Amino acid sequence: MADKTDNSSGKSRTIKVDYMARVEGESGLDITILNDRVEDVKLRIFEPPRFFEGFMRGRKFADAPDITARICGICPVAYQMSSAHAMEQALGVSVGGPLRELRRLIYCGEWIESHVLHVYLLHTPDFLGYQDAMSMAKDYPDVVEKGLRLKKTGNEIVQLLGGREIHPINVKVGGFYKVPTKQELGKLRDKLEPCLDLAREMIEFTSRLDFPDFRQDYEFISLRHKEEYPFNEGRLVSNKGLDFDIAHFDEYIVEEHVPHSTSLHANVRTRGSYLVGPMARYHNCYDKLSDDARALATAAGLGKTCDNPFQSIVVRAVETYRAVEEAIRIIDAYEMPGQPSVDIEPRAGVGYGCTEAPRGILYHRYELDDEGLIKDAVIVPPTSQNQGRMEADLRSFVAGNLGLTNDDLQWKCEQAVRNYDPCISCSCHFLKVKIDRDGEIYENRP
Amino acid sequence: MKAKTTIIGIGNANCGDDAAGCFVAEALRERDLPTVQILSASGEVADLLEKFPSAGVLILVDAMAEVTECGRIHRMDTSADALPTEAFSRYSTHGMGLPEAIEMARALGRLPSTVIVYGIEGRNFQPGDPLSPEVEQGGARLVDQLVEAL
Repeated sequence: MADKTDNSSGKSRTIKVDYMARVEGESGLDITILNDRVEDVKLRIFEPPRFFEGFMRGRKFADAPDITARICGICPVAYQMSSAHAMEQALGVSVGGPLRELRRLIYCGEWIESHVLHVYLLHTPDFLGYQDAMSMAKDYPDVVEKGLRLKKTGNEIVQLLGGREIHPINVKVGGFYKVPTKQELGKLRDKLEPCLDLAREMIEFTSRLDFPDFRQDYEFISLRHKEEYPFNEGRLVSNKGLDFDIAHFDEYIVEEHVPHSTSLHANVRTRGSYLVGPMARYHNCYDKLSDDARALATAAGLGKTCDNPFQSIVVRAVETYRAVEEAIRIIDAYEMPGQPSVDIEPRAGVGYGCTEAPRGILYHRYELDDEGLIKDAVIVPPTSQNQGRMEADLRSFVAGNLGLTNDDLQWKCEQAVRNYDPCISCSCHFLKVKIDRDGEIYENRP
Repeated sequence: MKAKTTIIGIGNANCGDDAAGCFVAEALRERDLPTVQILSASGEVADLLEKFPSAGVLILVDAMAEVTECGRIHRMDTSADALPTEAFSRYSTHGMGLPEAIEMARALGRLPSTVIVYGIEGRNFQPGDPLSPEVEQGGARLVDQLVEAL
């Protein structure tokens, strides 16, 4: 596509990306520049709203994990976990021991699947200058092969515990329909052992990529658990002083409708946008990483905080290593539970669930009647929480890179959005970019 | 067909006509085809790539969007050419499915020399629904054709 812009003219230009590739869902990006000043940045999400919260009403509490898992093909486990935890709280039960550990194990599988897919197949092509992973694979077959092997093992964890690798069906409120034997997990462990090396190589590989110098002042929000790098449980904390029980989510976080998005924007009440996901977890829970993971992060050039979103790819690699380690630990300690789930009686109540999807915190709230039917449902996915922060990143990035040609600016802006591994269909679902530079419109088309 | 043949039926057995590939794989397993490897797959890229053989003949059977007539069978030789992405459902919401798996295998140099994709046009892909009668009939016709050819 021709670059139509004279950058030195001092006029305005519009860069428009109609459909953004290698993100999940449908969105577009409009950037307006006037006299070398960024006038406006809009991440337009035009994925049709899907009304999951509405059609959950009147359903049985037990339906929630399977229905909400359909919100996303990449992070169905997160939806199952947040809904199961919320229902269990409403129904006054808790899941501990090996069942709790199995929940962490299936989450390890989802993190490995999702992070590896994003790092090797969706995001690395940005850094190496390829349009897609298929073109990259011709020049980097070894890298892609290793990524695929790692991802396959993540798939196998989800398949064994979830019944199948996509849209698992074995998770229920109270535990699982069926739990694996020690022998079944033992076979998985044999496949996980070489994954430690693959994940180490992933960290080293991503650390050698070329990152723009772009640091931002983020409010990082994630779960924090007193003992663990978080998956399922913890308090919500931030680097700017937040520390609250998940039941108080509404008091601290406000969702707002903006005209250019079918997905609600979330802000810290009275303060503004915030970031959830790997960088937030890394900052808030650095001390909960293993010694090995921290040493690998240090060797990869990361400090205790990563505030350059382009380096989030390295943080994802560190978290992949952590997930492999954790999976091995869980399998080694596993004793098959006497029953696959705890018994549950329906009752009226309100319950909250907040777990760490690969892209960040996923909040669910349900109100049940005395027959255990859902009266009200609220679901706040990570990508909708990150929308405002993505726009802030873009605004700041464009302002610092106005000298770039429109083609280069578009490429980097798309990359900046992909830093977040956005799951746009989760938030309501491909990105179009439009740059308006002093009235000259630059627009990509698929 | 003299070379070792692998047939992979792709789809979700519980999503209406998406089960077309599963139906064909199941029906072929009931026939006496000792030299043919018959596999099933969900369509996830890493899983498909692992199941692709490195040599011989690879036959992939998948549901595709209704273009002309529900149950109609399309034969596409993708040994040298890419599969059209529009007609095949993308399992991963990040846009990686059968067409991408074939191109990834080609880029990695591990696509067998002969790759044939059979697409069966489907109409209803709703979770929990059975196969449409037209797709079942189309799948049965494809099974007969494959058995005869093999």
